[in-house]
Amino acid sequence: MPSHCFPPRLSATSPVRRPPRFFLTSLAGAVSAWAMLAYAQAATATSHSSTAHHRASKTAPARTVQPHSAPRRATGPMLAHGEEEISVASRRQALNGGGGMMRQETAPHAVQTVTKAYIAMRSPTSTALDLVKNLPT
Amino acid sequence: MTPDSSGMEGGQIQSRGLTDLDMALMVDGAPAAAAKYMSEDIDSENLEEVSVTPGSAARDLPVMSAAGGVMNSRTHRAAEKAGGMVDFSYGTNNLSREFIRLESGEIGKSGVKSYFSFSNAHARSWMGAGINQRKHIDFGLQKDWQNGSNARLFLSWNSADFTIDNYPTAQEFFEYKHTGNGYGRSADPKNVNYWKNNNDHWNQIFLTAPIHIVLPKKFNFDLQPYFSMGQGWDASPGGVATEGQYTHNSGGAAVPAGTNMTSFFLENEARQVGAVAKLSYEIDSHNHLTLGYWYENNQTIQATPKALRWITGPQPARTGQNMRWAAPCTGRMPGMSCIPCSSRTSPAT
Repeated sequence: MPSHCFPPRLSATSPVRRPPRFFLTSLAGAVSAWAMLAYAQAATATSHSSTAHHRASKTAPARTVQPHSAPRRATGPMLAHGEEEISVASRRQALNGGGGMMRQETAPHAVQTVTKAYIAMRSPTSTALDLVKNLPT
Repeated sequence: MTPDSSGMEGGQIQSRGLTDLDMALMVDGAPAAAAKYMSEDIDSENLEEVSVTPGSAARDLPVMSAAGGVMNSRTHRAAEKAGGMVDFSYGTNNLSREFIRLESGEIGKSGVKSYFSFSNAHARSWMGAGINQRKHIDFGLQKDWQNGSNARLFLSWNSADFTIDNYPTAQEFFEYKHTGNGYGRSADPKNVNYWKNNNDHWNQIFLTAPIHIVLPKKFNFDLQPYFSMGQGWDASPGGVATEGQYTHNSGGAAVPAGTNMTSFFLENEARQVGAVAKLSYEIDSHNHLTLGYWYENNQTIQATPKALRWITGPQPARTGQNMRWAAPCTGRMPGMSCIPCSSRTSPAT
């Protein structure tokens, strides 16, 4: 494929395995990390708080890796001891925004694309024609 | 968009005042079926993405007429791990559809991955009597190298029969309005407008195998061979024979008055084979220099024979010897008359 007509083969949509981009690891100060946890509880809220700190991971599912020694407590403020590692990973949503209907295009010419996220949402009886009918052109 | 909810018929595109006839419709960068038959190329589960480039097309695409733009479908990439998926659809107009895809995963440590999928769909015609069916196979094979080179192969097979819609004339519409006599295809085998007398049959193989080789010093080499071959027909009511109007091509016996006739647009072969080879140099991230060559050869064999209406009514004669179309005009088939008939071969470019 011509690299200047269609997105390059090894674009961000390539399934070739690679380390997740926007992979951020932060060793947050113990006090602030535990305060966040206490404030927000459990994993979902952790995602919220880490999003606020790392803009690059807007849509990222966040995962909190807790040290083995950490006490598991559901609610209430906790005292920090030791350090916490927060890993935030993002996959390719940024390039396939809008549920696969608003892909970020980088080609130096007009092009509009629907991607897998959108196609998978439609009926399996769709043809390519049905899939592109809402594109701007 | 497609007129039928079961997605077997294909449709048309209108973009910036031009239709799909002025667009390049491609699958993995190889020329694919016209919009009207777009469902023949690939199952939607195997579509990775579909893009539309309005306006002028890139010069290195194997297309001649693309003033209206380019639509390209990228096919599924085989999974890293072995596995599979199935889905089922059931819906309007008695639609049922089954799909299965199996993934090989990486085979050994070779970097080669592949998948195979099959789907079967069955639906009632959305307009008037009729039954539509489609069977489809997709197969993909790929190998990726560490330096960004890759080789892919996409192969699809499609077999479909659908009832050709009849959009009413004003007269037909008013007759339906006032008498309830519908304008769709008839369910009565004795009627010349019987739905099996309005069948679109198409059998097709599509193949494309792009190879991308990353060379030293910012050079790239691309080779894209492609091949498609289809065979089928459109049938339409050919009227009711009058006394002495038709004779059989073989034997010359008269066709009795009152016999239902079928006209065919028969495409005995539609073959397209070609390749694009090109060498590119990446001057910088915005500028590329490409030299290449495109070869293509087409062959279309068409005929418009007329036949006795498929004799036994509900039995589609396509399973019988009546529909051996290898020699459509020579009248070797018993029960066939072949009155207006032409054949054309057009190798091109």
